[in-house]
Amino acid sequence: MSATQVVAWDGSASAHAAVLWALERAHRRPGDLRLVTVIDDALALSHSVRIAAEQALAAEVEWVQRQSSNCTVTPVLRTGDPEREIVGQCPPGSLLIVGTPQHNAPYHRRSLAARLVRMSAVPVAVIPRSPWTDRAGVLVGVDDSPPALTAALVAADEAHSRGETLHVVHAWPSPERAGRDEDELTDEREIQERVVQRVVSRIRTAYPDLDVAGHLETGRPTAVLLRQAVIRSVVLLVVGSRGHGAIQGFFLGSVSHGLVLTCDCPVLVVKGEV
Amino acid sequence: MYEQTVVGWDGSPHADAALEWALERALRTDKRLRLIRVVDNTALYVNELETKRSIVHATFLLAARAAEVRLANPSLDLLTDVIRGDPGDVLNSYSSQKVLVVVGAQARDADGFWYGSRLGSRLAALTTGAVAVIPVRDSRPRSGVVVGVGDSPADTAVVLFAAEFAHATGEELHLVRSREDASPRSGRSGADEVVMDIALAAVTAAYPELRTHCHLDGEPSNIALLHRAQNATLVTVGTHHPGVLRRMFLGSVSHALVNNIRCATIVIAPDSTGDIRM
Repeated sequence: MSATQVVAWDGSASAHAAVLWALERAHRRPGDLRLVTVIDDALALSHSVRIAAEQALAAEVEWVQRQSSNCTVTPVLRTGDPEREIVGQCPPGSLLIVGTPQHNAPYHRRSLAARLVRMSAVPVAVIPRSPWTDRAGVLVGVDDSPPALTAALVAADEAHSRGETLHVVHAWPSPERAGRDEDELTDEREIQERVVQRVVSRIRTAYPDLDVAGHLETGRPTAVLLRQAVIRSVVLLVVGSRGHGAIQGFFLGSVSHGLVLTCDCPVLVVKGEV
Repeated sequence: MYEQTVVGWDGSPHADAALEWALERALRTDKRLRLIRVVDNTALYVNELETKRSIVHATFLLAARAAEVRLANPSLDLLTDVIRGDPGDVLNSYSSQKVLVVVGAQARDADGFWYGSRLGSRLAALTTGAVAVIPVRDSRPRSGVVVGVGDSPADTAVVLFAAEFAHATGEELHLVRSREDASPRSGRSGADEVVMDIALAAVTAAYPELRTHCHLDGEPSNIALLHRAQNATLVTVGTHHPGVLRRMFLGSVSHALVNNIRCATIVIAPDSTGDIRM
Protein backbone atom coordinates (compact mmCIF):
# COMPACT_ATOMS: atom_id res chain seq x y z
CA MET A 1 0.00 0.00 0.00
CA SER A 2 0.94 3.63 -0.53
CA ALA A 3 4.10 3.69 -2.55
CA THR A 4 4.18 7.49 -2.76
CA GLN A 5 4.26 9.44 0.49
CA VAL A 6 3.11 13.05 0.37
CA VAL A 7 4.17 15.25 3.29
CA ALA A 8 2.38 18.52 3.97
CA TRP A 9 5.43 20.67 4.73
CA ASP A 10 5.16 24.22 6.04
CA GLY A 11 8.60 24.64 7.57
CA SER A 12 7.36 24.10 11.12
CA ALA A 13 8.88 21.68 13.61
CA SER A 14 5.81 19.48 13.30
CA ALA A 15 6.29 19.32 9.53
CA HIS A 16 9.83 18.14 10.17
CA ALA A 17 8.46 15.49 12.53
CA ALA A 18 6.18 14.35 9.70
CA VAL A 19 9.19 14.17 7.36
CA LEU A 20 11.09 12.08 9.91
CA TRP A 21 8.16 9.68 10.19
CA ALA A 22 7.92 9.40 6.39
CA LEU A 23 11.67 8.76 6.15
CA GLU A 24 11.51 6.05 8.75
CA ARG A 25 8.64 4.42 6.86
CA ALA A 26 10.43 4.81 3.50
CA HIS A 27 13.30 2.91 5.02
CA ARG A 28 11.05 -0.17 5.25
CA ARG A 29 9.10 0.33 2.04
CA PRO A 30 10.96 2.30 -0.61
CA GLY A 31 8.93 4.78 -2.63
CA ASP A 32 8.75 8.37 -3.72
CA LEU A 33 8.50 11.17 -1.22
CA ARG A 34 6.78 14.43 -2.12
CA LEU A 35 7.13 17.52 0.07
CA VAL A 36 4.25 19.89 -0.60
CA THR A 37 4.44 23.49 0.59
CA VAL A 38 1.48 25.77 0.03
CA ILE A 39 1.67 29.52 0.45
CA ASP A 40 -1.71 30.79 1.56
CA ASP A 41 -3.50 33.06 -0.92
CA ALA A 42 -3.37 35.91 1.58
CA LEU A 43 0.44 35.90 1.45
CA ALA A 44 0.76 35.07 -2.25
CA LEU A 45 1.93 38.58 -3.12
CA SER A 46 4.77 38.61 -0.61
CA HIS A 47 7.96 38.13 -2.54
CA SER A 48 10.08 37.58 0.58
CA VAL A 49 7.80 34.79 1.81
CA ARG A 50 8.00 33.04 -1.55
CA ILE A 51 11.81 33.26 -1.65
CA ALA A 52 12.07 32.02 1.93
CA ALA A 53 9.69 29.14 1.18
CA GLU A 54 11.65 28.11 -1.91
CA GLN A 55 14.95 28.15 -0.02
CA ALA A 56 13.58 26.34 3.01
CA LEU A 57 11.95 23.64 0.88
CA ALA A 58 15.13 23.17 -1.14
CA ALA A 59 17.22 22.92 2.04
CA GLU A 60 14.85 20.37 3.59
CA VAL A 61 14.81 18.31 0.41
CA GLU A 62 18.60 18.31 0.34
CA TRP A 63 18.67 17.11 3.93
CA VAL A 64 16.08 14.39 3.23
CA GLN A 65 18.01 13.14 0.21
CA ARG A 66 21.11 12.83 2.36
CA GLN A 67 19.21 10.66 4.85
CA SER A 68 17.85 8.12 2.44
CA SER A 69 19.15 6.80 -0.84
CA ASN A 70 16.18 4.55 -1.57
CA CYS A 71 13.57 7.26 -2.12
CA THR A 72 13.26 10.08 -4.60
CA VAL A 73 12.29 13.39 -3.03
CA THR A 74 10.31 15.93 -4.99
CA PRO A 75 9.59 19.44 -3.72
CA VAL A 76 6.27 21.00 -4.72
CA LEU A 77 5.60 24.69 -4.02
CA ARG A 78 2.09 25.98 -4.68
CA THR A 79 0.03 29.04 -3.92
CA GLY A 80 -3.60 28.87 -2.95
CA ASP A 81 -5.88 27.22 -0.44
CA PRO A 82 -3.59 24.92 1.61
CA GLU A 83 -5.98 21.98 2.09
CA ARG A 84 -7.18 21.90 -1.50
CA GLU A 85 -3.66 22.16 -2.94
CA ILE A 86 -2.25 19.49 -0.62
CA VAL A 87 -5.11 17.06 -1.31
CA GLY A 88 -4.65 17.74 -5.04
CA GLN A 89 -1.03 16.63 -4.80
CA CYS A 90 -1.91 13.15 -3.53
CA PRO A 91 -2.08 10.61 -6.37
CA PRO A 92 -4.37 7.56 -5.94
CA GLY A 93 -2.69 4.94 -3.79
CA SER A 94 -0.49 7.45 -2.00
CA LEU A 95 -0.33 8.25 1.70
CA LEU A 96 -0.68 11.81 2.98
CA ILE A 97 1.39 12.66 6.06
CA VAL A 98 0.78 15.74 8.17
CA GLY A 99 2.29 16.84 11.48
CA THR A 100 0.28 18.31 14.32
CA PRO A 101 1.82 21.01 16.49
CA GLN A 102 1.83 20.83 20.26
CA HIS A 103 -1.42 21.47 22.03
CA ASN A 104 -0.52 25.06 22.84
CA ALA A 105 -0.24 26.02 19.17
CA PRO A 106 -2.82 28.29 17.55
CA TYR A 107 -5.95 26.29 16.76
CA HIS A 108 -5.94 27.08 13.03
CA ARG A 109 -2.66 25.23 12.68
CA ARG A 110 -3.82 22.22 14.65
CA SER A 111 -7.02 21.85 12.69
CA LEU A 112 -5.24 21.70 9.33
CA ALA A 113 -4.65 18.02 10.03
CA ALA A 114 -8.31 17.44 10.84
CA ARG A 115 -9.43 19.23 7.68
CA LEU A 116 -7.03 17.19 5.57
CA VAL A 117 -8.35 13.99 7.11
CA ARG A 118 -11.85 15.02 6.12
CA MET A 119 -10.99 16.14 2.58
CA SER A 120 -8.43 13.56 1.55
CA ALA A 121 -9.35 10.64 -0.68
CA VAL A 122 -6.19 8.76 0.31
CA PRO A 123 -5.15 7.52 3.77
CA VAL A 124 -3.82 10.24 6.07
CA ALA A 125 -1.18 9.79 8.76
CA VAL A 126 -1.29 12.45 11.47
CA ILE A 127 2.02 12.75 13.29
CA PRO A 128 2.25 14.45 16.67
CA ARG A 129 5.42 16.25 17.75
CA SER A 130 5.84 14.15 20.83
CA PRO A 131 8.48 11.48 20.27
CA TRP A 132 7.07 8.16 19.09
CA THR A 133 10.15 6.14 19.86
CA ASP A 134 10.21 3.65 22.78
CA ARG A 135 6.76 2.47 21.81
CA ALA A 136 5.59 -0.94 20.71
CA GLY A 137 2.63 -2.43 18.89
CA VAL A 138 0.09 -1.24 16.34
CA LEU A 139 -3.51 -0.76 17.41
CA VAL A 140 -6.53 -0.82 15.12
CA GLY A 141 -10.12 -0.02 15.93
CA VAL A 142 -12.66 -2.33 14.25
CA ASP A 143 -16.35 -3.12 14.06
CA ASP A 144 -18.32 -5.40 11.74
CA SER A 145 -18.25 -3.14 8.66
CA PRO A 146 -16.23 -3.69 5.46
CA PRO A 147 -14.17 -0.46 5.86
CA ALA A 148 -13.15 -1.66 9.32
CA LEU A 149 -11.75 -4.77 7.73
CA THR A 150 -9.88 -2.59 5.23
CA ALA A 151 -8.42 -0.57 8.10
CA ALA A 152 -7.52 -3.79 9.91
CA LEU A 153 -5.68 -5.14 6.86
CA VAL A 154 -3.80 -1.85 6.41
CA ALA A 155 -2.89 -1.96 10.11
CA ALA A 156 -1.77 -5.58 9.70
CA ASP A 157 0.44 -4.55 6.78
CA GLU A 158 2.00 -1.73 8.86
CA ALA A 159 2.51 -4.00 11.87
CA HIS A 160 3.96 -6.72 9.65
CA SER A 161 6.49 -4.40 7.99
CA ARG A 162 7.49 -2.99 11.39
CA GLY A 163 7.70 -6.37 13.07
CA GLU A 164 5.20 -5.23 15.69
CA THR A 165 2.29 -6.94 17.43
CA LEU A 166 -1.14 -5.96 16.12
CA HIS A 167 -3.87 -5.23 18.67
CA VAL A 168 -7.35 -5.46 17.20
CA VAL A 169 -9.75 -3.54 19.44
CA HIS A 170 -13.51 -3.55 19.19
CA ALA A 171 -15.50 -1.19 21.37
CA TRP A 172 -18.82 -2.31 22.81
CA PRO A 173 -20.57 0.91 23.76
CA SER A 174 -23.39 -0.11 26.12
CA PRO A 175 -23.34 -3.64 27.46
CA GLU A 176 -25.64 -2.95 30.41
CA ARG A 177 -28.57 -1.39 28.64
CA ALA A 178 -31.73 -1.27 30.75
CA GLY A 179 -34.12 -4.20 30.57
CA ARG A 180 -31.60 -6.84 29.67
CA ASP A 181 -31.14 -9.93 31.67
CA GLU A 182 -28.02 -11.95 32.23
CA ASP A 183 -28.63 -14.34 29.33
CA GLU A 184 -29.20 -11.56 26.81
CA LEU A 185 -26.02 -9.90 27.96
CA THR A 186 -24.05 -13.12 27.56
CA ASP A 187 -25.49 -13.60 24.08
CA GLU A 188 -24.64 -10.02 23.18
CA ARG A 189 -21.12 -10.45 24.47
CA GLU A 190 -20.69 -13.51 22.30
CA ILE A 191 -21.85 -11.54 19.27
CA GLN A 192 -19.35 -8.77 20.04
CA GLU A 193 -16.56 -11.26 20.66
CA ARG A 194 -17.31 -12.80 17.29
CA VAL A 195 -16.80 -9.40 15.61
CA VAL A 196 -13.26 -9.32 16.96
CA GLN A 197 -12.60 -12.97 16.15
CA ARG A 198 -13.78 -12.59 12.54
CA VAL A 199 -11.36 -9.71 11.92
CA VAL A 200 -8.52 -11.47 13.72
CA SER A 201 -8.96 -14.67 11.69
CA ARG A 202 -9.07 -12.70 8.42
CA ILE A 203 -5.77 -11.04 9.39
CA ARG A 204 -4.21 -14.38 10.40
CA THR A 205 -5.12 -15.78 6.98
CA ALA A 206 -3.49 -12.84 5.20
CA TYR A 207 -0.45 -12.54 7.53
CA PRO A 208 0.21 -15.97 9.05
CA ASP A 209 3.41 -14.94 10.82
CA LEU A 210 1.98 -11.74 12.33
CA ASP A 211 1.42 -11.59 16.09
CA VAL A 212 -2.26 -10.60 16.44
CA ALA A 213 -4.25 -10.03 19.63
CA GLY A 214 -7.99 -9.32 19.73
CA HIS A 215 -9.55 -7.22 22.51
CA LEU A 216 -13.15 -6.45 23.34
CA GLU A 217 -13.46 -3.27 25.40
CA THR A 218 -16.53 -1.55 26.73
CA GLY A 219 -17.07 2.15 26.19
CA ARG A 220 -17.45 4.71 23.45
CA PRO A 221 -15.17 3.88 20.49
CA THR A 222 -13.13 7.10 20.51
CA ALA A 223 -12.56 6.98 24.25
CA VAL A 224 -11.67 3.27 24.07
CA LEU A 225 -9.14 3.83 21.29
CA LEU A 226 -7.51 6.83 22.98
CA ARG A 227 -7.28 4.96 26.26
CA GLN A 228 -5.91 1.79 24.68
CA ALA A 229 -3.37 3.80 22.64
CA VAL A 230 -2.12 5.40 25.84
CA ILE A 231 -2.17 2.22 27.96
CA ARG A 232 -0.40 0.12 25.35
CA SER A 233 1.86 2.99 24.27
CA VAL A 234 1.57 1.92 20.62
CA VAL A 235 3.69 3.17 17.71
CA LEU A 236 0.64 3.63 15.52
CA LEU A 237 -3.13 3.86 15.88
CA VAL A 238 -5.10 2.90 12.77
CA VAL A 239 -8.75 3.80 12.27
CA GLY A 240 -11.13 3.47 9.35
CA SER A 241 -13.02 6.46 8.16
CA ARG A 242 -16.76 6.44 7.78
CA GLY A 243 -16.56 6.60 4.00
CA HIS A 244 -20.07 5.68 2.84
CA GLY A 245 -21.62 5.56 6.24
CA ALA A 246 -19.88 2.60 7.77
CA ILE A 247 -17.89 2.60 11.03
CA GLN A 248 -20.15 5.27 12.39
CA GLY A 249 -19.00 4.50 15.86
CA PHE A 250 -15.42 5.31 15.08
CA PHE A 251 -15.98 8.29 12.88
CA LEU A 252 -18.69 10.75 13.63
CA GLY A 253 -17.28 13.96 12.19
CA SER A 254 -16.04 16.07 15.05
CA VAL A 255 -15.08 13.01 17.06
CA SER A 256 -12.46 12.20 14.44
CA HIS A 257 -11.02 15.67 14.97
CA GLY A 258 -10.76 14.94 18.64
CA LEU A 259 -8.99 11.66 18.01
CA VAL A 260 -6.59 13.08 15.45
CA LEU A 261 -5.79 16.14 17.53
CA THR A 262 -5.50 14.65 20.99
CA CYS A 263 -3.79 11.34 20.42
CA ASP A 264 -0.09 11.51 21.28
CA CYS A 265 0.93 8.71 18.94
CA PRO A 266 0.77 8.77 15.13
CA VAL A 267 -2.76 8.10 13.83
CA LEU A 268 -3.38 6.56 10.41
CA VAL A 269 -6.85 7.24 9.05
CA VAL A 270 -7.76 4.76 6.32
CA LYS A 271 -10.30 6.06 3.85
CA GLY A 272 -13.01 3.65 2.70
CA GLU A 273 -11.73 0.73 0.70
CA VAL A 274 -8.19 1.17 -0.53
CA MET B 1 24.47 22.20 35.38
CA TYR B 2 23.00 24.09 32.39
CA GLU B 3 23.78 21.12 30.16
CA GLN B 4 20.95 21.91 27.70
CA THR B 5 21.42 24.66 25.14
CA VAL B 6 18.69 26.96 23.85
CA VAL B 7 19.55 29.63 21.31
CA GLY B 8 17.51 32.66 20.27
CA TRP B 9 17.91 33.17 16.53
CA ASP B 10 16.50 35.90 14.29
CA GLY B 11 18.55 35.52 11.12
CA SER B 12 20.92 38.41 11.92
CA PRO B 13 24.74 38.03 11.78
CA HIS B 14 25.04 38.20 15.56
CA ALA B 15 22.30 35.58 15.92
CA ASP B 16 24.33 33.36 13.61
CA ALA B 17 27.37 33.95 15.82
CA ALA B 18 25.27 32.83 18.78
CA LEU B 19 24.07 29.80 16.84
CA GLU B 20 27.61 28.76 15.88
CA TRP B 21 28.76 29.09 19.48
CA ALA B 22 25.72 27.23 20.81
CA LEU B 23 26.22 24.50 18.23
CA GLU B 24 29.80 23.88 19.31
CA ARG B 25 28.67 23.70 22.90
CA ALA B 26 25.73 21.40 22.18
CA LEU B 27 28.01 19.01 20.30
CA ARG B 28 30.26 18.95 23.36
CA THR B 29 27.41 18.34 25.81
CA ASP B 30 24.13 16.52 25.12
CA LYS B 31 24.13 16.74 21.27
CA ARG B 32 20.83 18.53 21.47
CA LEU B 33 20.11 22.12 20.46
CA ARG B 34 16.87 24.03 20.66
CA LEU B 35 16.64 26.85 18.15
CA ILE B 36 14.00 29.45 19.01
CA ARG B 37 12.74 32.18 16.71
CA VAL B 38 10.65 34.74 18.53
CA VAL B 39 8.41 36.89 16.36
CA ASP B 40 8.06 40.13 18.30
CA ASN B 41 4.39 41.06 18.35
CA THR B 42 4.68 43.65 21.10
CA ALA B 43 4.45 46.56 18.68
CA LEU B 44 1.60 48.92 19.49
CA TYR B 45 -0.25 48.48 16.21
CA VAL B 46 -0.50 44.84 15.33
CA ASN B 47 -1.81 44.08 11.89
CA GLU B 48 -3.07 40.47 11.81
CA LEU B 49 -2.04 39.85 8.20
CA GLU B 50 1.40 41.39 8.79
CA THR B 51 1.85 39.23 11.90
CA LYS B 52 0.86 36.13 9.95
CA ARG B 53 3.27 37.09 7.18
CA SER B 54 6.09 37.59 9.72
CA ILE B 55 5.43 34.21 11.29
CA VAL B 56 5.27 32.34 7.98
CA HIS B 57 8.40 34.13 6.77
CA ALA B 58 10.25 33.46 10.03
CA THR B 59 9.17 29.80 9.95
CA PHE B 60 10.65 29.28 6.48
CA LEU B 61 13.88 31.15 7.33
CA LEU B 62 14.28 29.04 10.46
CA ALA B 63 13.50 25.82 8.55
CA ALA B 64 16.14 26.63 5.94
CA ARG B 65 18.77 27.34 8.61
CA ALA B 66 17.76 24.24 10.55
CA ALA B 67 18.15 22.05 7.45
CA GLU B 68 21.63 23.51 6.85
CA VAL B 69 22.65 22.85 10.45
CA ARG B 70 21.26 19.30 10.33
CA LEU B 71 23.06 18.63 7.09
CA ALA B 72 26.39 19.78 8.51
CA ASN B 73 25.92 18.07 11.90
CA PRO B 74 24.27 14.68 11.45
CA SER B 75 24.86 13.71 15.09
CA LEU B 76 22.96 16.74 16.39
CA ASP B 77 19.36 16.56 17.55
CA LEU B 78 18.03 19.96 16.50
CA LEU B 79 14.64 21.19 17.70
CA THR B 80 13.07 24.36 16.36
CA ASP B 81 10.22 26.59 17.46
CA VAL B 82 8.66 29.78 16.18
CA ILE B 83 6.90 31.65 18.98
CA ARG B 84 5.05 34.95 19.07
CA GLY B 85 5.80 37.28 21.92
CA ASP B 86 8.37 39.49 23.54
CA PRO B 87 11.83 38.05 22.77
CA GLY B 88 13.13 38.66 26.30
CA ASP B 89 10.13 37.04 27.99
CA VAL B 90 9.91 34.10 25.60
CA LEU B 91 13.61 33.23 25.80
CA ASN B 92 13.59 33.72 29.54
CA SER B 93 10.76 31.20 29.82
CA TYR B 94 13.31 28.53 28.87
CA SER B 95 15.63 29.57 31.72
CA SER B 96 16.24 27.00 34.39
CA GLN B 97 19.02 25.32 36.32
CA LYS B 98 19.38 22.90 33.41
CA VAL B 99 19.43 25.35 30.51
CA LEU B 100 21.92 27.79 29.06
CA VAL B 101 20.10 30.39 26.96
CA VAL B 102 22.34 31.78 24.21
CA VAL B 103 21.77 35.07 22.38
CA GLY B 104 23.88 37.19 20.05
CA ALA B 105 25.09 40.70 20.77
CA GLN B 106 24.36 43.53 18.40
CA ALA B 107 27.38 45.46 17.21
CA ARG B 108 27.55 48.97 18.54
CA ASP B 109 27.74 51.46 15.72
CA ALA B 110 29.89 53.91 17.63
CA ASP B 111 32.88 51.65 17.97
CA GLY B 112 33.55 48.57 15.92
CA PHE B 113 35.48 46.86 18.67
CA TRP B 114 32.77 47.19 21.25
CA TYR B 115 29.51 45.42 21.24
CA GLY B 116 26.41 45.72 23.33
CA SER B 117 23.35 43.61 23.77
CA ARG B 118 20.00 44.91 24.88
CA LEU B 119 18.39 41.48 24.65
CA GLY B 120 21.39 39.99 26.45
CA SER B 121 21.27 42.44 29.33
CA ARG B 122 17.52 42.02 29.61
CA LEU B 123 17.87 38.25 29.76
CA ALA B 124 20.76 38.44 32.18
CA ALA B 125 18.57 40.50 34.47
CA LEU B 126 15.54 38.19 34.16
CA THR B 127 17.16 34.79 34.18
CA THR B 128 16.93 32.21 36.92
CA GLY B 129 19.50 30.09 35.08
CA ALA B 130 22.39 31.02 32.85
CA VAL B 131 22.59 33.32 29.82
CA ALA B 132 25.39 33.39 27.26
CA VAL B 133 25.78 36.58 25.21
CA ILE B 134 27.85 36.06 22.08
CA PRO B 135 29.31 38.89 19.98
CA VAL B 136 30.22 38.46 16.32
CA ARG B 137 33.66 36.89 16.22
CA ASP B 138 36.54 39.32 15.71
CA SER B 139 40.04 38.65 14.44
CA ARG B 140 41.76 38.89 17.84
CA PRO B 141 43.73 35.86 18.92
CA ARG B 142 41.80 34.75 21.98
CA SER B 143 42.53 32.26 24.71
CA GLY B 144 41.55 31.45 28.27
CA VAL B 145 38.35 31.24 30.23
CA VAL B 146 37.98 34.08 32.73
CA VAL B 147 35.75 33.81 35.78
CA GLY B 148 34.96 36.42 38.40
CA VAL B 149 35.43 35.06 41.91
CA GLY B 150 33.00 36.52 44.43
CA ASP B 151 32.32 36.03 48.12
CA SER B 152 29.08 34.07 48.19
CA PRO B 153 28.88 30.26 48.25
CA ALA B 154 26.93 30.44 44.95
CA ASP B 155 30.08 31.73 43.30
CA THR B 156 31.76 28.38 43.74
CA ALA B 157 29.18 26.98 41.33
CA VAL B 158 30.03 29.75 38.85
CA VAL B 159 33.75 28.99 39.15
CA LEU B 160 33.11 25.27 38.64
CA PHE B 161 30.94 25.97 35.63
CA ALA B 162 33.79 28.01 34.08
CA ALA B 163 36.26 25.28 34.99
CA GLU B 164 34.10 22.67 33.29
CA PHE B 165 33.93 24.85 30.18
CA ALA B 166 37.71 25.37 30.17
CA HIS B 167 38.23 21.66 30.68
CA ALA B 168 35.88 20.76 27.81
CA THR B 169 37.36 23.29 25.39
CA GLY B 170 41.01 22.73 26.32
CA GLU B 171 41.43 26.31 27.56
CA GLU B 172 43.27 27.55 30.62
CA LEU B 173 41.22 28.95 33.50
CA HIS B 174 41.77 32.43 34.96
CA LEU B 175 40.27 33.17 38.37
CA VAL B 176 39.90 36.91 38.73
CA ARG B 177 39.11 38.77 41.90
CA SER B 178 39.22 42.44 42.70
CA ARG B 179 40.70 43.55 46.02
CA GLU B 180 38.00 46.22 46.14
CA ASP B 181 35.24 43.61 46.27
CA ALA B 182 35.83 42.59 49.86
CA SER B 183 33.25 43.94 52.24
CA PRO B 184 34.74 47.00 53.99
CA ARG B 185 33.41 45.72 57.29
CA SER B 186 35.38 42.50 57.10
CA GLY B 187 38.57 44.59 57.26
CA ARG B 188 40.78 41.55 57.38
CA SER B 189 43.92 41.65 55.38
CA GLY B 190 44.49 38.50 53.37
CA ALA B 191 40.75 37.82 53.03
CA ASP B 192 40.97 38.01 49.22
CA GLU B 193 43.73 35.44 49.18
CA VAL B 194 41.63 33.12 51.31
CA VAL B 195 38.59 33.44 48.98
CA MET B 196 40.84 32.82 46.00
CA ASP B 197 42.41 29.77 47.65
CA ILE B 198 38.99 28.28 48.34
CA ALA B 199 37.98 28.78 44.69
CA LEU B 200 41.25 27.30 43.46
CA ALA B 201 40.89 24.32 45.77
CA ALA B 202 37.40 23.64 44.40
CA VAL B 203 38.71 23.76 40.82
CA THR B 204 41.71 21.55 41.56
CA ALA B 205 39.53 19.00 43.31
CA ALA B 206 37.17 18.75 40.33
CA TYR B 207 39.68 19.15 37.48
CA PRO B 208 43.13 18.27 38.78
CA GLU B 209 44.84 18.57 35.41
CA LEU B 210 43.31 21.93 34.45
CA ARG B 211 45.82 24.79 34.16
CA THR B 212 44.49 27.51 36.43
CA HIS B 213 45.79 31.03 37.06
CA CYS B 214 44.78 33.31 39.92
CA HIS B 215 44.66 37.07 39.48
CA LEU B 216 44.07 39.51 42.33
CA ASP B 217 43.52 42.83 40.57
CA GLY B 218 43.58 46.29 42.08
CA GLU B 219 40.88 47.60 39.77
CA PRO B 220 37.15 47.28 40.48
CA SER B 221 35.70 43.93 39.31
CA ASN B 222 33.91 45.27 36.26
CA ILE B 223 37.04 47.03 34.97
CA ALA B 224 39.26 44.07 35.80
CA LEU B 225 36.98 41.60 34.00
CA LEU B 226 36.45 43.86 30.99
CA HIS B 227 40.18 44.28 30.77
CA ARG B 228 40.72 40.52 30.77
CA ALA B 229 37.77 39.91 28.45
CA GLN B 230 39.68 41.65 25.67
CA ASN B 231 41.75 38.59 24.91
CA ALA B 232 39.72 35.79 26.49
CA THR B 233 37.45 33.28 24.76
CA LEU B 234 34.89 33.39 27.55
CA VAL B 235 34.08 35.45 30.62
CA THR B 236 31.76 34.02 33.28
CA VAL B 237 30.23 35.94 36.15
CA GLY B 238 27.56 35.32 38.73
CA THR B 239 24.87 37.82 39.66
CA HIS B 240 23.72 38.33 43.19
CA HIS B 241 20.36 40.02 43.43
CA PRO B 242 17.65 37.39 43.45
CA GLY B 243 14.27 37.68 41.82
CA VAL B 244 12.43 40.81 40.95
CA LEU B 245 14.96 43.03 42.66
CA ARG B 246 17.57 41.88 40.18
CA ARG B 247 15.44 43.04 37.28
CA MET B 248 15.93 46.58 38.46
CA PHE B 249 19.50 46.28 39.61
CA LEU B 250 21.35 43.87 37.42
CA GLY B 251 24.64 43.54 39.24
CA SER B 252 26.99 46.25 38.13
CA VAL B 253 29.63 43.74 37.06
CA SER B 254 27.45 41.65 34.78
CA HIS B 255 25.79 44.82 33.50
CA ALA B 256 29.14 46.32 32.52
CA LEU B 257 30.22 43.08 30.86
CA VAL B 258 27.06 42.51 28.83
CA ASN B 259 26.76 46.13 27.75
CA ASN B 260 30.38 46.41 26.71
CA ILE B 261 30.69 42.92 25.45
CA ARG B 262 34.01 41.89 23.92
CA CYS B 263 33.98 38.15 24.06
CA ALA B 264 31.49 35.40 24.78
CA THR B 265 30.03 36.21 28.21
CA ILE B 266 28.00 33.99 30.49
CA VAL B 267 25.96 35.44 33.33
CA ILE B 268 24.78 32.95 35.92
CA ALA B 269 21.97 33.66 38.35
CA PRO B 270 22.24 32.40 41.91
CA ASP B 271 20.47 29.08 42.43
CA SER B 272 16.95 30.34 42.81
CA THR B 273 15.78 27.36 44.84
CA GLY B 274 15.37 28.59 48.38
CA ASP B 275 15.58 32.24 47.45
CA ILE B 276 12.78 34.42 48.63
CA ARG B 277 11.23 36.00 45.55
CA MET B 278 10.15 39.56 46.13
